[in-house]
Amino acid sequence: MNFSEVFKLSSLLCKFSPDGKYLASCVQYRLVVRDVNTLQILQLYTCLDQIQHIEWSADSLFILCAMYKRGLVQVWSLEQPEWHCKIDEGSAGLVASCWSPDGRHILNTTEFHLRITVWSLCTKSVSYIKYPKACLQGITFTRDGRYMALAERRDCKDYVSIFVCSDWQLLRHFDTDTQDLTGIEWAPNGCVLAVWDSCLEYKILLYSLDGRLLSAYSAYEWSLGIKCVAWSPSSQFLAVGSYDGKVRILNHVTWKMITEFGHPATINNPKIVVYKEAEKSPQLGLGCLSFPPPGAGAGPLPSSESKYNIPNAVWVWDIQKLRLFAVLEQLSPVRTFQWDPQQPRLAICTGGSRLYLWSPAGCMSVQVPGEGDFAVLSLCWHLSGDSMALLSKDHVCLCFLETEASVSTACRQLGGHT
Amino acid sequence: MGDWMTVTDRGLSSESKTISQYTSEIKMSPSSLYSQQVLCSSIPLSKNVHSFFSAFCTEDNIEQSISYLDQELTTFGFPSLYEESKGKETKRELNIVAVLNCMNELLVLQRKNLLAQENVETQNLKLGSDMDHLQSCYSKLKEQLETSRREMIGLQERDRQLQCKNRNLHQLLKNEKDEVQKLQNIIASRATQYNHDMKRKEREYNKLKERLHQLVMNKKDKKIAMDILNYVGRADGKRGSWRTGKTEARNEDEMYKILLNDYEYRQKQILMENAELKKVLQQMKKEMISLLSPQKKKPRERVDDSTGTVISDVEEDAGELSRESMWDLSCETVREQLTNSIRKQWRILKSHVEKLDNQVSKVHLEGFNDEDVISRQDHEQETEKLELEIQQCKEMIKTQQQLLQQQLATACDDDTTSLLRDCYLLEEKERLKEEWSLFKEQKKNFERERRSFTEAAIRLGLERKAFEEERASWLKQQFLNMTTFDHQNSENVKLFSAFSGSSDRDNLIVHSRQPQKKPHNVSNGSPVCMSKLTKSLPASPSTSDFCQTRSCVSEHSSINVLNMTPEEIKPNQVGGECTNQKWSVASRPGSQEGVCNVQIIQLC
Repeated sequence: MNFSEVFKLSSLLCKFSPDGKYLASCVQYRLVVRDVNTLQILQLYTCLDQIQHIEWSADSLFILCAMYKRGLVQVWSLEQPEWHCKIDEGSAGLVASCWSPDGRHILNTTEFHLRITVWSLCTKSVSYIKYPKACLQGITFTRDGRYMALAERRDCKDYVSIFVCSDWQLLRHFDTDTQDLTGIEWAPNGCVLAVWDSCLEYKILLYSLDGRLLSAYSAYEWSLGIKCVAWSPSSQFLAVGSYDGKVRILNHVTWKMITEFGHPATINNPKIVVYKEAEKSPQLGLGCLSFPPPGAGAGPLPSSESKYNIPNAVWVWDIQKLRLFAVLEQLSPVRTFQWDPQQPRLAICTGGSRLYLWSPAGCMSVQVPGEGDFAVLSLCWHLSGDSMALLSKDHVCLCFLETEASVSTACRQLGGHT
Repeated sequence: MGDWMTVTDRGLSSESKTISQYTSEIKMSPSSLYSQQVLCSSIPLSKNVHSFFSAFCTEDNIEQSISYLDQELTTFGFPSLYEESKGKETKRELNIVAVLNCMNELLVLQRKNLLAQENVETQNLKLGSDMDHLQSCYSKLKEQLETSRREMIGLQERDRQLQCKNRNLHQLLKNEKDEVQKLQNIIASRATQYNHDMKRKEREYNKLKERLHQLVMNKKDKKIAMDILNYVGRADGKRGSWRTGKTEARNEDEMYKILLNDYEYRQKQILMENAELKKVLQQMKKEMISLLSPQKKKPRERVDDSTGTVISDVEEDAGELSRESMWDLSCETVREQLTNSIRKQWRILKSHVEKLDNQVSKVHLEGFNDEDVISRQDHEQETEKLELEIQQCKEMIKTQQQLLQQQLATACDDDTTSLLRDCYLLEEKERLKEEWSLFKEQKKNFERERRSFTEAAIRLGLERKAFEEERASWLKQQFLNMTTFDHQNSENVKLFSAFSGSSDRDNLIVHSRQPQKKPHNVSNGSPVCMSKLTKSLPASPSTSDFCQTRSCVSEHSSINVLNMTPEEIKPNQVGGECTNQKWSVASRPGSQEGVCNVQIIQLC
């Protein structure tokens, strides 16, 4: 495992390009684009204000930099560094900005979620979408980039609109049976839309692409409900994590629960490997969920424990066998974990200066080298799974992993306990 | 209280009195025995009294006894028995009055004493009865105490149970309270969430107000615009299109297409899975049937039902097999049939396994030997026997090997070893020698035969040549004769008839025409050949020889004479030339050849 030198970074804004060739990072109001292999600076752009958000376009040709305070979005091109584009929302303000899947439209959410402006980089046309819902996950695109689902709220009722991304035509508009919609997400196959309610009510609704309600699921009443939702890469399973500390897996045929995973304080099964960094026992609650990529083959699903505060343990479940596979207990709360895009390998960071890697073969932790303490606050994998970027408050460092064989041998050598 | 018996017999009055007293004493209650005993001791025995009476005063010692009595009485306070003395030394006269008085006094005293005694006795008895009474009271009280103690224990027990119940109820109460608490917590958390949301909303509201205020105040409005250097081409390179109704329809179509594709894909997957599962089920069913069907041969009562069903299932199967193609259809009846038959088979299998289990356990317990079920003991015995046998065999083999080794590797003197070796090999040597001799003989024979064959072949060649010459000359003659027709006509006819007639004559004629023909060496080859010719045609010597040799040759040249074809004949012992010539002979036209041909062919 090799670590690159540290580079300056601000606001944890560091992203790999979708094609895996470039790495974009922000330092205050400057955008730095580096080559992934050599880490040489290829481009350097200067924005008008401190950047709050950057995003690559899907074809890796453009990067947008959003400055919410000024209400500005600036778009930069990699092919033509002289090209520039500035979108000023003016008095409307800006709270969120994102690309459309074709990489030629920018969706700006104005302040107070008054409207969404769709700016086109191809034509002079501008579209407005009224009454978007102010929630965590109000916009979602299908994986193939054809459709966009948007959560709306009119007259104290929730609606979902489905747009065709090619011409921004409204395809379907239907109301949802939710009290206060918190999130929507397309299934990877683009045919089912999951819509879930706020945590005050446990309700998750599944709609077909044409707006029909396929199924509604509610595990219990009264107690706090859903915290997070994740689709499996094959669209066969939907994992729903809730405040009662359990993950429920729904299957795509009947949309009923096939199993639920608890997160007990003690584990009795000797087959489960528990990697402990400390003696502390995990707490109740449930945090984030994620499925590994499909290349890994219907493998494990990790979920982390949390109450309303911070998690300490990561639980890895085997979906093929529907049982707990491993538990990783850390000393400090887990900040982020992310699956390797190519194989079932999990990278975890806890805010300390160590990076933790887990794979079914074993577990290891690495100290990030550098003068002083490099507190890893966040991480993101490279597309190929060979490297990842470790982000701290002021710096970013790239970690190059060896090939699979050597990593697994390294894992075995180091063993489980750190 | 005893009963007093009064006996009036004076003779034994005192005795009888005492006796009666004693008897009365005996009849008294045992509790008052003590009191009676006291009484007994106070009253001296009758006999003693009697003797005492007689012993005290006799004829001799009247004076002494009187004086003694007087003394005693005076000491007791009675008046003296003597009269008042006149002088000191004069004998005192017994005062009879005094004596009688004293006696009376004594009697009175005695009566008083008796009364007192009676009273004491009655009192004693009373006391005794009182004691009895008290004792009974005491026992009763003890019993009461016992019962009351038991009651107390019972009450304590009840008290304990009630306390237990109380505790349980407390626990329930606690649980209910906990639940209430939990619900309250839920409500509280919801309340906090609500508050949180409300605060958020309020903050936003405030921001809105501020912004509105700002906007109202702010005269210069920032223009909402996009400043772009140049427009970028579309991602897919195509031109943008207008939004029309057609595009809407197109979008709808596309959407439905996508949905349909997804459904079709899923349905395909499910169908595949279904087909696989059905196959597996079918296989399982077949295997189950095959497992259960061997039972048909064993005539057992228990199995009768199952065999019946198995047979019926097999029949059913036969019917089903013909409908194999129907499995692909997921129609209700086929599915049901399949599942039902699987269930049936499974039930049969289960019952069978259970029966087997029962049998095993039965055998284990009772130890009786069923026909087909071998008890474990027998099985073990058998295995032991077999093991022993194996051991024995192994030992035998070992010993034999040892002996063999010994034999082979004995360190005897060289002669014997060589002799031994020789004697082992002697037989083989002799056999070899025999074979050698045989081989040599055969070789000789072969050589001889070969020589004869070559000779025969040469002869054959010569003969043929001669024959050819003869033929040529004959033809010439014929030709010549034809010119002189009349002369030769008859000869010709003869000739022809000769040739077309019996072969014997032909041959003779042939013979005659070949004066220069070499004398035949009637080499018959090996005697073997002769025997073979018994089947042959009635051939002339020459041709017969010819044929003979030919057949011999053919015999020796190949195994299957009959299978020989002209091409296959290998000129091994006979010159190739000869064979060719033979055949060429056979192929030549002419009746002669034709006859010969026939002969040859027939032989071949």
